[in-house]
Amino acid sequence: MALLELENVNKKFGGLIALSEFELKVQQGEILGLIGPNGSGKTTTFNVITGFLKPDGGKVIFEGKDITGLQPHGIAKMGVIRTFQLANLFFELTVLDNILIGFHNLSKIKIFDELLNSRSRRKREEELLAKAVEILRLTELDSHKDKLAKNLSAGWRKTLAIAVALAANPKLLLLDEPVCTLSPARVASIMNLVMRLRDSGVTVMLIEHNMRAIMDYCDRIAVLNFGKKIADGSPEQVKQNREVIDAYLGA
Amino acid sequence: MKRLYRFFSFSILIIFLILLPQLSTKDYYIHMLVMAGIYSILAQSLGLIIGFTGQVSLCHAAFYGIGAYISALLALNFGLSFWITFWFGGIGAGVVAYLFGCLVLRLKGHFLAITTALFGIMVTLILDNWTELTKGPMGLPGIPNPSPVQLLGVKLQFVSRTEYYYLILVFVLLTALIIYRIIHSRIGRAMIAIRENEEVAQSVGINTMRFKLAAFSIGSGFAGIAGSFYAHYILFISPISFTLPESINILVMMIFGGMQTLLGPIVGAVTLTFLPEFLRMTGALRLTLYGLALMLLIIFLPSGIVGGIKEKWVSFREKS
Amino acid sequence: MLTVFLQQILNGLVLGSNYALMALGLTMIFGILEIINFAHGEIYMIGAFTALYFTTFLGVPFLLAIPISMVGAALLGLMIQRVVFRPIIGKPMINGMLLSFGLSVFLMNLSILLFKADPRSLESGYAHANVQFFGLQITLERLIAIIVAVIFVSFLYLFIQWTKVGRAMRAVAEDREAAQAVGVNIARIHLLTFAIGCALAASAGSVTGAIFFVSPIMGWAPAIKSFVVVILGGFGNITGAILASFILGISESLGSGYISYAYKDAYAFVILLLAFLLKPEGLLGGSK
Repeated sequence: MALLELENVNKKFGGLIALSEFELKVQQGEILGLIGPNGSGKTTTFNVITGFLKPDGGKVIFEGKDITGLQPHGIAKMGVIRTFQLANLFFELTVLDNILIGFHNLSKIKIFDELLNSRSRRKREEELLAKAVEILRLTELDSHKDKLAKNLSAGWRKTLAIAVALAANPKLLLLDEPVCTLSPARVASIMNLVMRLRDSGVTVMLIEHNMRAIMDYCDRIAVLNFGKKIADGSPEQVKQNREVIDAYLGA
Repeated sequence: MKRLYRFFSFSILIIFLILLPQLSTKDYYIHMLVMAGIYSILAQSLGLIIGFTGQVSLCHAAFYGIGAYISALLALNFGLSFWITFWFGGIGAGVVAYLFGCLVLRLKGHFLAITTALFGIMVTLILDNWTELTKGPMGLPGIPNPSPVQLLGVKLQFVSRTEYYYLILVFVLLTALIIYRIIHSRIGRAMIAIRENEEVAQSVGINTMRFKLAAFSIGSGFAGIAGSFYAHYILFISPISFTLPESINILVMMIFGGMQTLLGPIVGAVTLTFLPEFLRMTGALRLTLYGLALMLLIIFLPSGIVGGIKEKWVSFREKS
Repeated sequence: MLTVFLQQILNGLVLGSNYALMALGLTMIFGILEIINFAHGEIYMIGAFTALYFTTFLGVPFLLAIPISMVGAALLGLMIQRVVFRPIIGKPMINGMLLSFGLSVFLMNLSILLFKADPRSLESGYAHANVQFFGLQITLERLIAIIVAVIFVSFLYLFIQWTKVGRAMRAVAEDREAAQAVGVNIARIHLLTFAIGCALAASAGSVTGAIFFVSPIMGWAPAIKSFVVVILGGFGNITGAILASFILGISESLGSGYISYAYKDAYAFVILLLAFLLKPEGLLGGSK
């Protein structure tokens, strides 16, 4: 059974067709790339999966459960965590605080513990701090931990966005343009991080324009054009697909 | 070490606050202190809603009024004393806020602000016109003072303003403590996340509606408690004390002091309770200057006094 | 019975015209500058005072005083946009909101200080002329209110649809970056939009001031209701704003007549609540 399934998803904006009969299966443990010319519906797909948009038709199924149209926070609680196209962050807060907020997803809040600052709460906070340090190390953000997110460079911002998503304990990680506009060295370090995440059990789906990154790191690629899926297969297959080539040349 | 320093300075502050009324025999100044205390609670609670959770509410005075009227009506019609009515005032205001919030907290920014302003106007309209219940603009006189209590061998009758001062001091400290604990908990962290970036907050599993409702209900509930206190202090209430200009008053206090801090709203409340009185600014003059002050604050000092000081301190430390 | 009903509808049209002129300015300012000017009601009020000054002290005929007040308001608007709103571009939205709110409080209370809160009457010279048709009556003054609104709304509509500048405005409302890319001067469009919005508000103020009265506090209630209209009609949506204005005006009129006059300011709120309950998602976005 696929981890995530999109069944016949349709989405219109006024008269504009964003997604049309979109079918997609994401298998556990793979890195799936979602590409397509500008405006082909990639971010819309993420929005529909994570509940930020309701589809006009079709279903989104995660781990066998129908999650179509659920609230974004509910879907996040199930383990589907996304990043945003322009590295959306808590810009006025520090890197560490950004990650600590991500941990919200981990457990229910016990009101009395919190308000009375009980011993169990303080212990929990220490554990979270340790976890945060671990994530900082994993993403190489440790030297930046007290910097304000708005003072980071573009590359580090994108890394932080992934770190925050990581903190939320994802089963399925949706990355929206994680390496766009970055230098080749940065791209490599971030994509290697993605590989390590996959190896530790996280399924990853990513939207990217950087073709190198897509071809080199994805197990499978789906291609959208004007809201319709025109290809779905290995990088080799997709590279040679006539329709794909036309779509990109025509766009 | 830091702990000891904090405890020490806090104790000094408490001793100072306890001795404060002895500094002056003029009843007038004690009255100002009591009002400053009431506004501290109002400004702090608004700070929880706007400053920490980012939800602009322009109807805080309406909940202040709801609390006051609930208390007054219970006291006048059922003979209940302040010690019981303030619970009803606070919880009543909180419940109304919760129900209202369920409807409108989906709105963001300007639209929330306008709708809350409208709600405030509605409440004023009802208080003015539902005369069978509220006696309208004539107001409700004859509200009883809190029934006497025995504390540490001293009998408090709540006849002198000084007694009220100590009572409001307790309320202010309790409010501050509760808000402090909320902000420094995971609940507070979620609220700040919502203020900073609601989308990202949602994407990491924060139920933004739930936390917005919490902030709004709790904040408005505290306003209701302040209203109850006001009713049993001034012993007379009328709709004119709970209108939009009063919400503006509280808003400016909060921003002036620093809305994203815990101490800021208290500093703002105390300063802006005493200052206009000293400068003899009332009515339209006061509001004109408030409008101007609000504009200047937003353009030049959006983090308020305490916030501004904090920022300077942080950048000073970063440089050294 | 029917006559009474139709008479109320007619009154509603007068109210609606008022809201339409204000809401139009507000919704345009929001669509293009993406700010909400909480001081819009004060511009309305300043327009009324300007018309009052010109008619009462300078003997200018009322129909001439209206455009004069509009010009004055437009100039004031330009100054406000420059001095108040420019410094906070790019800051969080809450700042702009509180800023214009402060401006509103400042202008209203400054007017109270300068002019005293007592209402004054604006003699238009048309208050006593009655127009009759189909058994209905309306004073010429109120008819002028409707005509003025119709004229300006139509002018605005034609302006936006057919002129080059109008097209530029629509472009900026649609997509600011794209408009800039094709050479539109964004700063100028912002100033122009704000000026037009203020001028419309001033015309509403002058006309309403003549029908009822002029006072420093006359602006906030119509302003709040115009905000409701903008929310109901969809922000940036001009047709929506016009429709919603008249719906609100007529509802208020019918409500005051048949339900209660004392609660007349509350009907806007009730309509807003109803709209929320019936269509909660529909009020969170808007189309142009």
